[in-house]
Amino acid sequence: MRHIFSGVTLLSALFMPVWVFLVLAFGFSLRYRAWEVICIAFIIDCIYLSTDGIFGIPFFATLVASVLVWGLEPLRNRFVFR
Amino acid sequence: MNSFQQNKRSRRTLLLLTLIVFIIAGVDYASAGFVRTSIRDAVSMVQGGVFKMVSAVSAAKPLSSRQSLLDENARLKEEMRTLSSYAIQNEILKAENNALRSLVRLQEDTSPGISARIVSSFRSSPFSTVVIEVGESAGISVGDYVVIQGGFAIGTVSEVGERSSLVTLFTAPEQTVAVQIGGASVEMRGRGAGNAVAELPREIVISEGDAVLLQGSRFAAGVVGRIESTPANASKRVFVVVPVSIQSERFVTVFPGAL
Repeated sequence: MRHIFSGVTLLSALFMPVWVFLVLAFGFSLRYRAWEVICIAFIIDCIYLSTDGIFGIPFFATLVASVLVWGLEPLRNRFVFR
Repeated sequence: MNSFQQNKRSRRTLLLLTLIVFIIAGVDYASAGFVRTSIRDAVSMVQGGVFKMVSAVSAAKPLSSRQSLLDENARLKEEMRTLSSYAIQNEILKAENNALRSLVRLQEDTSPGISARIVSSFRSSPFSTVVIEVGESAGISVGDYVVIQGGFAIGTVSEVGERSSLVTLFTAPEQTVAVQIGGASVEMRGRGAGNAVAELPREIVISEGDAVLLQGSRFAAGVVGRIESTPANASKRVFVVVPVSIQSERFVTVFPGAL
């Protein structure tokens, strides 16, 4: 299940509108400790973002994904790893 | 292994992989984008292959008549859009002609440009950027103008790899470019999601559909869309739009050193 989730999230990052990726990444991070989301966000940064970054942040998507995955840790602990 | 140990192990994996990603990011930053240009080159090859495959399959003969009618419908719509963009283009050329006359240093750019396939989707990019299938090996360099049909420049090359390049659209957040609207030189600022605005003094007379020309080049960045003006404000806000559907574009032309 996890492999399917990560494959679909990766494909959505490359070929689907941004919101699809965001929804999948959120769902994936909520269910699993999804290090895959951080890796996919890093790939997004590498493909679509220049070295200068956006708003002065060079790895914007990676940072957002890290905050998402680590930020959902308490919620995930409460609902998934009881 | 019990669930507590499993939980601990998965947490350690997450921490380790987060660290690895950030170390690679650090290496990329220190090497001025070596990692990202390599990844972009590789992904561009894969995406280019996928797009070629999809277009080959959709162009195959044994498709249903419904599909061919849909295709023809889309093609005719696109043709209509192109023709209306030519009409606007005429107006732009008139304005461009006047603007060029007023330029002190007129540069004659007769370079034919380099055609390039867009290998990433406009919809997938969260940063208003696209990847094109040509790079350093084709003579592309940073700052080159990227032009779509109808002569509209949509952005500039912001990063170049061996076989791919990153194009930042003028509508990208924080992206600024000098333009001429109604004879006035102003700065156009991108706001993301295909929007760009410029502030113009209120006394400059402009109307919807007027050309927005890139300063010092022969290309248009779009046309004037909505104009917001209030009596209390000394300037008016001009929303710039591109009359051609950028998302349907599959090819662009890159003009090296167009400035």
